[in-house]
Amino acid sequence: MANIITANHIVKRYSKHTALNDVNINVPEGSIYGLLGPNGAGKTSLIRIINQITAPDEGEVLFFNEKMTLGHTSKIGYLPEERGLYKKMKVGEQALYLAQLKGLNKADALNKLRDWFKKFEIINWWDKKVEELSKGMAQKVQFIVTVLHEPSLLILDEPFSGFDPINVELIRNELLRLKNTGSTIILSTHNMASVEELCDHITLINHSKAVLEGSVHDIRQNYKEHLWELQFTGKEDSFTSAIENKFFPQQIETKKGVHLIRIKIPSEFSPNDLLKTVLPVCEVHGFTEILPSMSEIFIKAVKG
Amino acid sequence: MSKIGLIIQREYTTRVRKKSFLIMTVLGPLLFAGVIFAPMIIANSVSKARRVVVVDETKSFSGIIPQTESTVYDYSYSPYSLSEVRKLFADSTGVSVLYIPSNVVEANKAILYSKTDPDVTVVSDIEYSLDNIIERSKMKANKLDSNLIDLVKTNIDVVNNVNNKVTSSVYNLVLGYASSFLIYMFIFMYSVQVMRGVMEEKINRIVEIIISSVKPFQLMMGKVIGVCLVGLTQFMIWVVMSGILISVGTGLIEQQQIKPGNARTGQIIRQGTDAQAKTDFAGMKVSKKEAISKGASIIENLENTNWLLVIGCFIFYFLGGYLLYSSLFAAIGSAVDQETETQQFMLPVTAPLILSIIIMQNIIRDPQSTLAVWFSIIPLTSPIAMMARIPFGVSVWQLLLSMVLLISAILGAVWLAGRIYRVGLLMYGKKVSYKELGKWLFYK
Repeated sequence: MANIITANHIVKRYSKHTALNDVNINVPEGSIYGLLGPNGAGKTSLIRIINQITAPDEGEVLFFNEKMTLGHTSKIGYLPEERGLYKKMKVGEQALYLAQLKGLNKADALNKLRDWFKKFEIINWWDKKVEELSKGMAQKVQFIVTVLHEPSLLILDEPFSGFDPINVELIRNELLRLKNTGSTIILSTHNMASVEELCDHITLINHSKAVLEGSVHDIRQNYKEHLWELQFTGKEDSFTSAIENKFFPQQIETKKGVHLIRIKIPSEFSPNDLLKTVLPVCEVHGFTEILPSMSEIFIKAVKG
Repeated sequence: MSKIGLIIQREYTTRVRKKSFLIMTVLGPLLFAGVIFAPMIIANSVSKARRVVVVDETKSFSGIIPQTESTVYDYSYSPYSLSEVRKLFADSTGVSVLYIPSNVVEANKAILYSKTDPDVTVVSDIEYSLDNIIERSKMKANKLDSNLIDLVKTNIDVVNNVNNKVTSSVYNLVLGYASSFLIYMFIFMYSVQVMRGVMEEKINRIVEIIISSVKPFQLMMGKVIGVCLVGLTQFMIWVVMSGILISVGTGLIEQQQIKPGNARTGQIIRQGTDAQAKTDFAGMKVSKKEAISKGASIIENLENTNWLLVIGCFIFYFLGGYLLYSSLFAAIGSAVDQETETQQFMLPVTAPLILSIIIMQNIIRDPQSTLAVWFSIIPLTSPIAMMARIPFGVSVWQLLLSMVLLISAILGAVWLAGRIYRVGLLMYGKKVSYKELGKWLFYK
């Protein structure tokens, strides 16, 4: 599949530090792409460069292999991390203004806004001033404005912050729906659970460099420690003596007579070898591989 | 609509719809008219005439001090001594006791005793009347025919013909001062509004959403132009409303003046030019003549002013000064997080503006002085300084140089502001120094 965004050798320097040091990313069309990294790693700088808010000192950004121009801004919807609205302006009027800035004509924008406001159940907020809204309400308005012009690329910086669980669910479903209709989404977040759930690909930026890139599946496979979880009934003693010196049990717990054990399988053995070894001494109830969570991978990659 | 058009529209409509705009727009001309009419109304609304009891030791003023609107003289207490009369009226608030000592002519001094402060016009009326009487009696004593004095009295009007045009320096002074001051006010009021608007967007954090759709430069210029249009709208309304109010006001006052006859008109003029009136022997006649000749010279001046030049320059310096300063103010607004931080950057920007208003006194006194010429050529001060000089006549090369320099300064300021603006908007939580600002200019 074609890449909607290709960033080649991006370098961005500020007076005292380098925010991005030779960063490359490729965002496949139709994917949800996670941009991860600790605070201050350079994510926002990269996002701003893709949005053409700032220009890189070196390197280039391509949109479907075409050099980015200002004309592309209407194809991008951007929800910055630090986001706000004009406090004294009415909600509907403001949404209309922002939509028109993205290139929608007035009639179109009005129709679409009405639909979205109904969908998000905020239509009766249309004539309220923004200062009367709760933070969550304002976030909804901002989200609507970001997606209203049906951009082919959405760039969302911490889209879930400030939402209650119901609205997080609402936004998550919208993101999946948008993905299914062909939109590409770049998601910058610290919420690792949503990365595992939503993202197809990620890039992890640390100290201005891309330290990890690839599909979530591949990365988790690469970081796996051949850890398996086995559920069995039978005598614990005979089980442990059977696997002794071959496999490395990590922890064991017992719930309602069923033992639950995590075992690391060394590279010279396969999971089948483990099963063969334990089958004679116990009754197996379950056997699954434990993949590292994105959170663990994040910490491992960042702390080295 | 183009994006910059949308921004201009938003800036304009949100501001024009504000209550504060409406209030300022209505109050402005009222205040303006108030400043003009308050003295006239005060001068006109003469309170009840004051009873002045005359204690005349010279016995020569009895019954001859002319009554005016503000004073009524009472000579019935002349047989009594000053202390007796004073005791008698010690508690009367509406009565004053005029003590004319026997040596009034030598000492040039009389005393007016009152329980409460009399109207200023009372004192000046008495002074004026006594002056006249004593002057005439001195003339008689020296065998001068008072008719001869009236004949001798001369009032030469020097017509100031500059370059075949009749001008009055007072009139030029007022025209220059008023137009410069308007420019100064406009620059200050609306540039600060631009700065506030920029800060609002930055502090509200809406700015990043907007500049993902438009270039920061478009946003900045949209704001500068939008606010400018707001200012022009307000200005136009003020001009029209002030015009209406002033013509209605003067109409009303004139009507009032006709009723009590000419005496009153004379009196008002005399009050306005008290010192001058004192030297006039014939008093009212001269005042009236003067008023007529003054009125005629103003009309002549109006006809002789090169309005095309004055209005053209006014619009040029009005807009040019605003563009120059508002873009600098926009840059300041983008560089700071809080209103208090604006101080350190505002001072150097506003200094030339304030300086030119201070220097204006000197410029108007001597419009061709080196100081005046340089201030009207240097771009940061030229919008105000040049406008003050225009009515007196400015050589073409100075005007052109000043305009060219102002245009290049605007281009420079807008470029500089644009560079600072686009970086400053996204900088939070940092106290910015001048060194830092300098670095921003070279960010990509």
